[in-house]
Amino acid sequence: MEHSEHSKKMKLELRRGVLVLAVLAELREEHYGYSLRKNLASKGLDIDEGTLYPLIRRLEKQGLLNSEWREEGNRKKRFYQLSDVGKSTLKQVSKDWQEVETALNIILK
Amino acid sequence: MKLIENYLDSLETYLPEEMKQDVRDELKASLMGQIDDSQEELGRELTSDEIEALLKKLGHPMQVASAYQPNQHLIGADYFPAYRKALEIALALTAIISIVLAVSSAITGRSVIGAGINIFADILHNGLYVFGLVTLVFYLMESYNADLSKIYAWSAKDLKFNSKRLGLSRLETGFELIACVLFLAWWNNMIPTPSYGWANNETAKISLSAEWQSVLWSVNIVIALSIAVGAYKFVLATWDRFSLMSEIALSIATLLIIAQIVQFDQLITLTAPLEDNEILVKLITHFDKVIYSILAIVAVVSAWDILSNARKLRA
Repeated sequence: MEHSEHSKKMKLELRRGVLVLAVLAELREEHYGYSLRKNLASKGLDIDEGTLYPLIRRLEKQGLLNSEWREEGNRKKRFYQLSDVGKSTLKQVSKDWQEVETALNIILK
Repeated sequence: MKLIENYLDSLETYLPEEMKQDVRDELKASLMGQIDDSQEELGRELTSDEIEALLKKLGHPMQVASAYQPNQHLIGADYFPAYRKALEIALALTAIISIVLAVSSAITGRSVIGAGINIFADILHNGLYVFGLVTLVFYLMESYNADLSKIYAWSAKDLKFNSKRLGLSRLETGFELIACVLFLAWWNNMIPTPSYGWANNETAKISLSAEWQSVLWSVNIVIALSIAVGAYKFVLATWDRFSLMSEIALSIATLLIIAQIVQFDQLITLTAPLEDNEILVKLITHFDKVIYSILAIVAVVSAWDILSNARKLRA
């Protein structure tokens, strides 16, 4: 395997690890699938639909998100937002993330 | 928009009924949103090639649909090591049972090649069933979240018997097993004793003397137990306390039987159309020497087994 392929693979794994946290954080505000994807992409996290949509469904099933179907611009859209459980989970996971980031920064120095 | 509808129709076929409409509406909203954005940016409508490229980027409908469904594998990473071990043991057991059954039918049956093909076909046939059954059991265990701590119950004290030093080759144990089964068959007259061509188309027959009757059952028991322990070792592919102690006990029993045999007055009986008694005595002496040599080798191997297994036990 080439050097670039290694880093590409590791980048994918890293992104997969932080994806849930990014989605939870972004859904502090209400979004439907495509607007969430656009928002994440505009902040530098480009995720394909095949990964993002099933993920938000799983998070909803776990009770971390609430969802609602609404019609907007003649199109049915499913809007997602953090539930109360999601809010407290995000708070805890954000704290965990800060700790990991601090530890990694020390290691990488 | 026909391309998009076709894509969503195809996607629906890979989804369970209750998810079809939801996933369709969600993806349609997303695709239409992307098309709107692109058209606004370009100031024109998207061509069918561009829409096709958009769908291609999304992925094969089957892949996209599968991402929406949980448990898209037969056996997950948590259960896989236990599954692999269970499969290994089950297939080893299947191989032993198939070989033992096939060897016994081969002894009484037709050609060696035919028996070999039958053994191979039996192992393959039964092995496939066992493979399917074990996979199904683990799939159900995972589906019902079977307790992993029970599956992986272990103790640090037991791990020493899994060290490399105590590993066993299945090939070696397999040969040992086949040799034991064949010996047991010969010992119980299931394999005919060979006759030798003699002068004037007459034959000579060598057979064990009547004194061997005194060790008939003790040898049968030792060999049958050796087959059982061998099968156990073949399945585990490692030594453990049970197999080591059993092997030591069987080696001691073998030495005791040999000690009994060497006290026999006559080891073999030679039936031959021979008038010259001197030649007959010479032949019997020759065969006695052969049997004593075999017994000496078996005794040395048994003594060595006792020592090496005792060392393994202390390890």
